[in-house]
Amino acid sequence: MKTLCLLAFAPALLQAQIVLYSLDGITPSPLGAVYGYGQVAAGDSKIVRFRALNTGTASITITLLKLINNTGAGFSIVNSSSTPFVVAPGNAMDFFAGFSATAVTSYSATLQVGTLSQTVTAILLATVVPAPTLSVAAPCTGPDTNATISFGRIPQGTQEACILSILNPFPQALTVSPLTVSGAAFSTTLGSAVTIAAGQSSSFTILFGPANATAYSGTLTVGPRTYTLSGTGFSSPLPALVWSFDTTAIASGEQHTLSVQLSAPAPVSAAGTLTLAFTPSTSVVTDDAAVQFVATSKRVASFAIKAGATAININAQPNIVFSTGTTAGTLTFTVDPGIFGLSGNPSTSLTTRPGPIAISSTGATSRVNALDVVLTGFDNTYSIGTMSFAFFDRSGGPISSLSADFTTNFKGFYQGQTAGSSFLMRVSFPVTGDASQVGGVNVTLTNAAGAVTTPRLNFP
Amino acid sequence: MKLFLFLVFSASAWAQIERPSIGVMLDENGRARPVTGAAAAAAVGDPLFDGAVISLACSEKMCLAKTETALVSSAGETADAPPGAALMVFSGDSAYVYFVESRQFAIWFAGHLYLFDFDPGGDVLSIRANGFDYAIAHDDGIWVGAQNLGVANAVFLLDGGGALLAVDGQVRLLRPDGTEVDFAVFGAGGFVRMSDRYVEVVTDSGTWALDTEPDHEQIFLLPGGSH
Repeated sequence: MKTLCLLAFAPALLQAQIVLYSLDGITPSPLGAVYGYGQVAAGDSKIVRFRALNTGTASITITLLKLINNTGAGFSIVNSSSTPFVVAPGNAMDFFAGFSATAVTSYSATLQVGTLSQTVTAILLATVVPAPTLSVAAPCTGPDTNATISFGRIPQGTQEACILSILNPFPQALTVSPLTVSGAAFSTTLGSAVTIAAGQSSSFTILFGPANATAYSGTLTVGPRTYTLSGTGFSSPLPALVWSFDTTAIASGEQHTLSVQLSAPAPVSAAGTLTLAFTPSTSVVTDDAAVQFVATSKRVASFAIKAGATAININAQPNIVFSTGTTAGTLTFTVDPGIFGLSGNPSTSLTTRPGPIAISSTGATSRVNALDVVLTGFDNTYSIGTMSFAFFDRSGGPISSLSADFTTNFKGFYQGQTAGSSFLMRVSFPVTGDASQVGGVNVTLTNAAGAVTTPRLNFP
Repeated sequence: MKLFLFLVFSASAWAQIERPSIGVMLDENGRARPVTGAAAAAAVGDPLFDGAVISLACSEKMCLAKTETALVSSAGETADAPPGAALMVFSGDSAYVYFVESRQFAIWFAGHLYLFDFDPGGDVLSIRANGFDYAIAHDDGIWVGAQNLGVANAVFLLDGGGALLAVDGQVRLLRPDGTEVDFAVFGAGGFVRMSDRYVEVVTDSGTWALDTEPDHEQIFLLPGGSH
């Protein structure tokens, strides 16, 4: 008879293909005959993920997935695939079993997972314990639905204290244990356990002290309950900027030096960018590419400052040279410290005012039937065009004064120009007579800001 | 009372406008780049020659670039040349060339290089086409003919007479009339002829352009590669 029984069960044993696992996160652990949920606070719920793995070489069909509460209620399947469920060899069916109860006692249930030919079982155990109520005072918040207590954002190197209170709502004294805090930035003077009289509460303080500008997390265990502590440290903003220019009275066609300091020592080593933006005061052009940091030929430079220092290094130098270009407008310098933050205004501006035409070189030559004048300069108003030419003979006596309007020529030249207003103009005057008798010329150029006259240009 | 008939018709006057050129600079990467615009508000363009340039000299008409093995003109002419740096100065359509390593003089003309023997009596630091002057380094200073310019880190002979000297903390512009103009530039170690008017001043920490035009003397940083 005994032999017959063994033979009768033998096929089922040989075909045993379902193996149960519990998962802590993503790591599966073989499920024994009994699985304990441990202590669960009254009214709380605890959900465990299980796995039915097909270890055989053939597909199986799970037709049975059941939880039988042996002590009335508490356990339930909270999420699973519907049965029948076909599981290929080596594959698995995952499901979740939860527990929740309010009565302070012990609970058990039988978990059954099976096919038509095999059923595996496990006993699930849980104990409901009286749990205190945790509350958190400002500036902290929580616990939220994810049992997280937030300490918010505070400057690195500082501390924030939060007062937490444990209430015993039960009619008898309650010993809360364990009572622990963990996490690099979190600390407390709390003991490992506390006994609270019926209906009373006990307060304690948790300190959050971020050493660095980063996010921190920790864990607070209050009896059967576990909470996540979270907080973020950030660097104190850099002190206000002190802008230093070699002069603030700038004009077009110049190079100037900028240095930047902090009004107080930097609390941390910081780095970022210094940018230069330009807005022309004329609508003729949209930009002037010559407005730039000369060292980089760009409008951006890097900066860095060490903790405790006030002087900012720009492109690894104590100062930086910028060009004002040849267009009247506003140059705006902005420091962007990124995550480090900055007190006060991050920007400052300088203005180049519209000015008379700047002439950098002149020349005059004569041919048999023509007089040629060459002028090089820039007009930061882009309104150049009207000119007058006063010719003189070799003895300096006036010959004639002529006006000419090259506004159309310059408008065409400046059309779409973004490289500035510099120009080289060659003007030719057809001459009837002996051009060699013309000794010189004064040229007066007029723009929106006024008129300028060249020195006497002598014809060779 | 005019003794000649002089008529200027303003209505027929015509103007040609273009972007002004400052010259050609030799950047920190050995690329010859045109510089345009206004002084102190200049912009640099794309390289003129392929590959790295060791020495450069430009006039209003042309540029000559010395690569490791050749002398190249901006007109596209190329001639094989001794290795190393070269001093170049223009004389009309031709140019005098001095190859520093081989101490060899030559004349560049119409795309050809004509070597000639000449013993300057020392290491030549700079040459000038006008009168074929040259600066020689001696223990007691830099000599140009019978004139001792004094001790300097570098010298550049200007076309119209005069010279640039790189001395401690400054570049000194010596005019033929004996006047001097000093510019505060630290670490000047070399000069490049950017154009007839502008000379590039090379320092460890940046590149400057010096306007040598009388009464217009000024110095400004060139874009890029400067600190």
